[in-house]
Amino acid sequence: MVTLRLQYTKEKYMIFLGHLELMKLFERVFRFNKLPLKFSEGFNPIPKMTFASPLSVGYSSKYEVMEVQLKEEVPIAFILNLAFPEGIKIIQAGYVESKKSLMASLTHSEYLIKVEFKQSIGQLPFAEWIQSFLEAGTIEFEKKAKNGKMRTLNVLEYIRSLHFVYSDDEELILRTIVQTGSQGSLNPETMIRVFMDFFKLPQEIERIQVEKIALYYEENDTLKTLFELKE
Amino acid sequence: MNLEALLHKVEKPSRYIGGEINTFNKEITDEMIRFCFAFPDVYEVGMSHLGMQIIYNLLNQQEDVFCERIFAPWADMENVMRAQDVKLYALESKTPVADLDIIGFTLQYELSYTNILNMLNLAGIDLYAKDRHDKEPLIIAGGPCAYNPEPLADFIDIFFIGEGEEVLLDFLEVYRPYKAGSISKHEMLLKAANIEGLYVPKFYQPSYDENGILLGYKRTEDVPERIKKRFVKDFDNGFQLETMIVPFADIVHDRAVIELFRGCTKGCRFCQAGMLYRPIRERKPETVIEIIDKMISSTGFEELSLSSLSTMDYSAIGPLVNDLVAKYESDNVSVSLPSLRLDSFSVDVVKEIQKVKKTGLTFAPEAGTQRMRNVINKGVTDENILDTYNSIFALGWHRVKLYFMIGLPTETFEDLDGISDIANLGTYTFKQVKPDSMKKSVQVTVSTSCFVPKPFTPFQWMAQDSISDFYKKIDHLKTKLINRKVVYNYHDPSTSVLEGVFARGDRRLSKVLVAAYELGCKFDGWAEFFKMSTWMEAFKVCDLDPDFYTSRERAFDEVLPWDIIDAGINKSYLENEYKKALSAENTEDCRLGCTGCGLNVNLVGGEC
Repeated sequence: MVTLRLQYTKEKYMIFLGHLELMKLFERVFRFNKLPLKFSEGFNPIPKMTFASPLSVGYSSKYEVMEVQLKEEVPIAFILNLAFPEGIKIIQAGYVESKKSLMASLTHSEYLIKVEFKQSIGQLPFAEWIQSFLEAGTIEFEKKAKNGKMRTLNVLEYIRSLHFVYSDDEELILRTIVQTGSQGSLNPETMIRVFMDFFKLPQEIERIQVEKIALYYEENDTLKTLFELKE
Repeated sequence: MNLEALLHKVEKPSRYIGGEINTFNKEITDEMIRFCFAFPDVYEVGMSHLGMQIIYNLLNQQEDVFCERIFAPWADMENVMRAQDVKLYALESKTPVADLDIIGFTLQYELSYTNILNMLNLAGIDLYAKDRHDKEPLIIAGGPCAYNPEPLADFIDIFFIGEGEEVLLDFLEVYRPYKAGSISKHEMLLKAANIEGLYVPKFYQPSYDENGILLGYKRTEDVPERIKKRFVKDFDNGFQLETMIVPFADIVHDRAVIELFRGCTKGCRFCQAGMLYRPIRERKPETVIEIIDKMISSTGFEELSLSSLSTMDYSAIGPLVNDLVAKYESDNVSVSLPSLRLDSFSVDVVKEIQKVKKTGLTFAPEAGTQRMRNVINKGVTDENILDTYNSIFALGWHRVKLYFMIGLPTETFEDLDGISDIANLGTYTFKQVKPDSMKKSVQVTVSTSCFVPKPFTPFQWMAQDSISDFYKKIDHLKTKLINRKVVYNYHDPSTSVLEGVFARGDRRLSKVLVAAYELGCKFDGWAEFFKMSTWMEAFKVCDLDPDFYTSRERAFDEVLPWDIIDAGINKSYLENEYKKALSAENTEDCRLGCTGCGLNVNLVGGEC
């Protein structure tokens, strides 16, 4: 048995697939390409696949990672040529020895966030705002815990980096690395709302478009892209 | 249009994006005939329909045809579309459907008719055929409900009667010169009307007597007197569906489907499909296995369903199931059967399929007593039922679902009591025969639907039960089905009565449809949308009485709205079957000997 790891994109109309729909799609593409899938035991055998982190419906991504267990190796060139619907493309593929789980190892996600406003925002000093935001020490926000209770947390503890990319009259683009995974995650849209509230921006947000550009795991205080995860 | 922005606001947006595996996206040229297959219900229902998959692949195999799809958008999507003035668009190319050439609706269910109007309106297309100019798409329709096309006759340009595979291609022959501009729309429709199987309602004008009873149709052009249904004569060599669109969304029937045969020889008197899809035509097991292989290796489905009107009656069903299970077991592709006959043979077959996991089994005795089953010619005996219980419970099943109809002709309360007797027999038999290892308790689910008499069946003349009749019967059953191991579900009588109106309706109903639609009716098959009071208002506005269509018994010599269609079955056969029904007399399976429906003489040629 071998573990095949894939990095793939989820873009264009494919951003509208839910996580269960995406898993079904992968299973079916693997099936009709006759990959030697390894199935779980029991009454309802399902292929052994794990996805690093479910992506919210509507977010696009250049960097999704999943693993599937196969009974034997299939040439990587064949895997790279698997045809998915437009918007899903396999970027990298490789067999891994790792016993570590993708989900447990994942610590951070990097996003490009585009905020569109309903009203004109003029020329705002976003680069300076970001600086003072990051240096504020503690900025509290409320997050619903798994048991349904609201908890108050410090948003800055979840932000690894935040950079200004672009802004004009109607939109703002930011790039950020936030904590993701078993230790707790920060939703990029939540971060934007906390940011806007902090500066008491009167303009309303029309919509927030999120694109994931990388997934990371932390090793000796440095971030490494998740696809490189080794033993 | 910014479709993406719209999709961020709706539930299950994957229903509206197209691009699924095995869909087409052709290069669009001026010559390309742009066809749109329209299913007047949500994606999850429409994508489960085999006919859509067949026609989509058949048409896209034609070089100069690009077939796309539309479904009824759910209310949230409709609201944002209307708010942003986004017109209904075809899923493949996202082209507004008003810019396409032909829209083909499938008519599977009478309660989807208001959705047809809503979809036309969402597309910005005029509802009435007479109001549509040459630049607007041609609106065509087919499917089982097209056998009584009259309630929709004012909206549809051409109805396709019977199986579509061959007649659609014949129709394209007369559409091409129209597309090229060498003949007018009127000329094209006239040519179409002379193709066997096509009904162009504008050439047939109905007239009624002072009581609203149809007198007949006057032909306004040189067109056939009656429209003969079409069917694929050589089913084993005809068009074969070898691949299917693989949906993203979790649809109702999410699996590969292979048709084993068309038609049915049982002759159940309530069953419209059994009458319409005659004659019986089987595919050879070799053909079936070959098609399944192509289908599984092009779709990746993990389940395949062996479909037909009565799968257990396929000549080679036992060996076929054994072969398929052996072939696909190691790939974890499971085999499923849509319906089971109540006999031990069926249990032997299903035992092969559900070796490990014993999910529930579903059977349809249809009626509670032997007498009632004789009336409807459902060849199931009390012994069959007991034998089936004995074998399934002994083999380790513990859940069984039973389908019955209420409101059948000559039905009495004793017949209803028979339903609870059958349910109780199930729980009793379970205790007698269950294996010692069985720790679970038995569950028998009884579902009753309200009988709707349909055209081209022996019951086409009879009065349907009223809503209050149905409720009396349901209430009676509730008092009888009190066994704690028995669960009782029943279907809403008012939807069945409305279905009954349109099933046997005439052309005057088109204005009721428009009135109901304008009052807000849509998705009438969905409990959360269905409003009987609004429908009653629509009938009142149009000065028509729904009881005229449902609770009125017709005389045998009355002209029926669907008499203009020739389904190949003699009216005298249906009349005779109705009389036999009233005296609870059986008619045998016509595989065992011709029962004289006339189909072979009328449509195939020669004798039975």
